[in-house]
Amino acid sequence: MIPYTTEPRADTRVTNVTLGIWLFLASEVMLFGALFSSYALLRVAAPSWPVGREVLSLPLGAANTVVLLLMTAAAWRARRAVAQGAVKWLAASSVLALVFLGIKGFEYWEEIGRGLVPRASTFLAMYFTLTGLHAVHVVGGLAANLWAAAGARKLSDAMTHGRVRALGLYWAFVDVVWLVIFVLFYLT
Amino acid sequence: MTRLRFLARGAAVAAIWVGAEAAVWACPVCFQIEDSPISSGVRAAVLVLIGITSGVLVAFGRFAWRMARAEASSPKTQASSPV
Repeated sequence: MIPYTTEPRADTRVTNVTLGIWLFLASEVMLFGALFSSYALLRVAAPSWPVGREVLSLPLGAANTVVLLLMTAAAWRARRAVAQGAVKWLAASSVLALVFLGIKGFEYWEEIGRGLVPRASTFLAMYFTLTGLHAVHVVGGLAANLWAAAGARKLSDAMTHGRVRALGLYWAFVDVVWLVIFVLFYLT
Repeated sequence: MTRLRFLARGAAVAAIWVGAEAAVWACPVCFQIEDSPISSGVRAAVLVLIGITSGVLVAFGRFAWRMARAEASSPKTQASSPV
């Protein structure tokens, strides 16, 4: 069994948690990269492509962008706080993640009500695939936030700090993916 | 015997390569119509994927380079942790 260490390794100069989250994020980049590549294929090859802001709700998309940026800011603030302070910032980040999911859910409900379903067009199929997968990542991050906050009561400060640090990187990645999605689907 | 079989297979592949019609080797996506929208789409998709993959590979390369530099600068007697 590999013992849990919080000290940076002599060879990698980072902790195992940091190395692990970077490897995980590299695999995530490839996952979303394949989907963005599919988007490029379908968009360039399509005889016509709708203007996103005329089909989707730009105000809701913009609101979600702000919420997501605030959520990541809270997660990064948690990295600099200690123990209970970190838990408070993680809680704030989790509440904002729920707000993001609520807005996204309302947006989906409103779009499906207007007949904008994945089978209606290639644009909508890509939109639901990418935003759906992104929403799954927000749910995963929310679960990880709660796990880190719950563990903070039982674990050492160093272990909690490692988890919170990894979460900050994860949320930054989720932010970057959303910004690309926002530009591709809502602004162009 | 094995060498002879290897050469025979190589000759068969070369014969097919030389004798086959050009259409057989046409790209299954564009069928030699290089300015079609599908061809442009595939080109864009490949470029996006190459860009993203290159970024990840460069990051891995940079990490390996950083480790090599750290190893070179650390004292030889210092043993690293097994985990």
